[in-house]
Amino acid sequence: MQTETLEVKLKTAAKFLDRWAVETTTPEPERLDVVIDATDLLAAVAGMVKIQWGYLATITGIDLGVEDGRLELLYHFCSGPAVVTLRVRIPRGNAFIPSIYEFIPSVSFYERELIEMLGITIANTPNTDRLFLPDDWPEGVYPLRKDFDINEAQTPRNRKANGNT
Amino acid sequence: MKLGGMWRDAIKALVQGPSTQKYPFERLKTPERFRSKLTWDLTNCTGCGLCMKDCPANAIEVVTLDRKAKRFVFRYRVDHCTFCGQCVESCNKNCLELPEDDWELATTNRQDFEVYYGNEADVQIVLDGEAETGA
Amino acid sequence: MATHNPTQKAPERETFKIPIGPQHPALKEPGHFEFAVDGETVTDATVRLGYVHRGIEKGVESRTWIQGQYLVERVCGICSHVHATTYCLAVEKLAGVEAPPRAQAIRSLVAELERIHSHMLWLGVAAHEAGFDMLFMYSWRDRETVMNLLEGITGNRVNYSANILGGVKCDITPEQDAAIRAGVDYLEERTRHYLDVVQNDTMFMRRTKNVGTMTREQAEQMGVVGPTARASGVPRDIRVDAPYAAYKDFPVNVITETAGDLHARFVVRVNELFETFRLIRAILDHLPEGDLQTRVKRKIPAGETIMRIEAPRGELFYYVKSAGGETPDRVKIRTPTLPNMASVLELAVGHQLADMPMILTGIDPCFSCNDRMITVRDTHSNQRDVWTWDQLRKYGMNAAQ
Repeated sequence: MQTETLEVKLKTAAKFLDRWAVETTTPEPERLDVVIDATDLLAAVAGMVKIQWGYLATITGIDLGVEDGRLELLYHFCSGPAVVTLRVRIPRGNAFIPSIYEFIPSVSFYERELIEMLGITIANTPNTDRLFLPDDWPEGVYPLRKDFDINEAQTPRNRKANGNT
Repeated sequence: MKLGGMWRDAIKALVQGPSTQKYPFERLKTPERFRSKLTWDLTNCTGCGLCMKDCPANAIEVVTLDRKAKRFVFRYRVDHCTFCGQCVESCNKNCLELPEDDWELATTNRQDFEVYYGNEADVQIVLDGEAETGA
Repeated sequence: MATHNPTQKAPERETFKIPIGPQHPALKEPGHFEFAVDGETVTDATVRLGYVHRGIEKGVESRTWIQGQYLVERVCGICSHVHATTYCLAVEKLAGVEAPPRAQAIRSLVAELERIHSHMLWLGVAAHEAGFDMLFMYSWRDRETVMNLLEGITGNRVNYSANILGGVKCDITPEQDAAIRAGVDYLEERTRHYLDVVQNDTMFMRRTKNVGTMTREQAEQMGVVGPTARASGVPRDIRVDAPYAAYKDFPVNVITETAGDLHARFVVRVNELFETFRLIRAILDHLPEGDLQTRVKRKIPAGETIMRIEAPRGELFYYVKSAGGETPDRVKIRTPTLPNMASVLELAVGHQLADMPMILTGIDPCFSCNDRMITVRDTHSNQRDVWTWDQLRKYGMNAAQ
């Protein structure tokens, strides 16, 4: 793998992911963005692991906004200079995605972050407990969503600390 | 055992004398680029407020009393400041400076951390205004 | 617990759990480790982090592009420059500008000085964990040399804020050039001595040889990065794979070892110092002339980018998205300690309890970097996340702020 050039790497990935791709773009020379359906995610990730294309660097979750009505998940795979991003878009109201834990066990904490920060339901992930947020954080308030209002997140402890009871 | 070199070092350090300063009596000279308490010079200020806008710690406030007459008061919170130097870079008129030697900032009084620069009469107006609003 | 509840069945085979931390778990940073032991041998390891989580990713969203730089610089105290550099490079890419060559060279120069500082700090900490305090004190004394150089160049010993969107704030004067060369010469001589100690001292070899061995296959599979990966023979270095800043003009030789044990991680890092000294001299010899800054508009055009750079501990990953305004839309940070931390737990099982601090320090963990995340894992059984929220809460969990 090490001797392969950037073009070859990206070409391999593009060819392999083509069967699931809704849209394929090259936003920067070293990157390949592949939009896939949420239902194809498991097959695509399993395939990337099977052909040993790089390693999963991280999962980024983005809220595209209330008007757009979707959340976007980016699965970044890195191999040398090349970065392949699998983009999955899911509706904001019914945010549901299967877990890729069975193929890449180290994703557990990335998925837990998505659950509490963006309010995504992830099926078959072994642990759905909170990671960052305090115990008394209200249910259904997701800080990385764009319509997040800091006042909604006023926990009893915060309120006390800020002096506004 | 490869400790021979280290023992030589240890013995050297023993006869070398302390490498610390007797601080209140001897002051270490800080490097030229060291950043300490911010100073502001009214002369060229246009009151654009870029320093205030770019400050990552909200340590700066430029109060405009009269833009045409160039009556600005510069409020600087030393305890908020992270001494990053962004304000100095943002200022197009070179009004701001972070000198290297004014770093003895410890105090027992919180009020000392609030520094006002500007025309004395104008500073008094700002202070009085605050006393009224109770801010 | 079992003694308080007589109705509860005794476990089939009793294991003894040794909690370490959260205060001062070998390193002077907070983290909680639990090792299940059978005699002296570790059979199971779990870790819980998150004591220094500060919500930086969300915080950046409510700041301007300029303010964000100073916030991300505070993700980590030791490798603050690489965070600011990654952020600046990403934002510049989005804005469609490129910092002048001299600025890029100075960025790389400060990054390399920071690497010396980080590696020497690590050498001291690791030596301390091995019970070799003499090496600890001398390496930290010598680290002062590079700290003073950094203070001279940037004005600060840590959180240098050498970067600014579109370039750097500080230039290298001829006097500084001479000071850096003198400092690097001194450090190179000292590093030779440290390499001699690391490679030949009998006691030290016994503490490190064949401890925490990670094969190349394991390293690739676990996705470890930085010197930890290179010690297992994986030539993974972003400065070579995807050169950024001035590394295109100043190529880096990748230092690898094949043994994959703790000793190899020492040798890789110490040898990397020599490469860094060479690089610093090369940059000083061919420092491009020109401006230090280009103008970057306050509003960054809409778009998104990925920036990866080689921090002292490994690959640092930034995803930055702009919606076209004065504030970032999303900034995602993945620090190198995160993938490396997983490897520690895999490697812990089967080793002596006394080796744990050494294996842990072997990856040069940085909890502040890590703590935008909490990892709870159980490597012995297949079940990875063993702690419930209630259990976490019991331990005074306060991850949000």
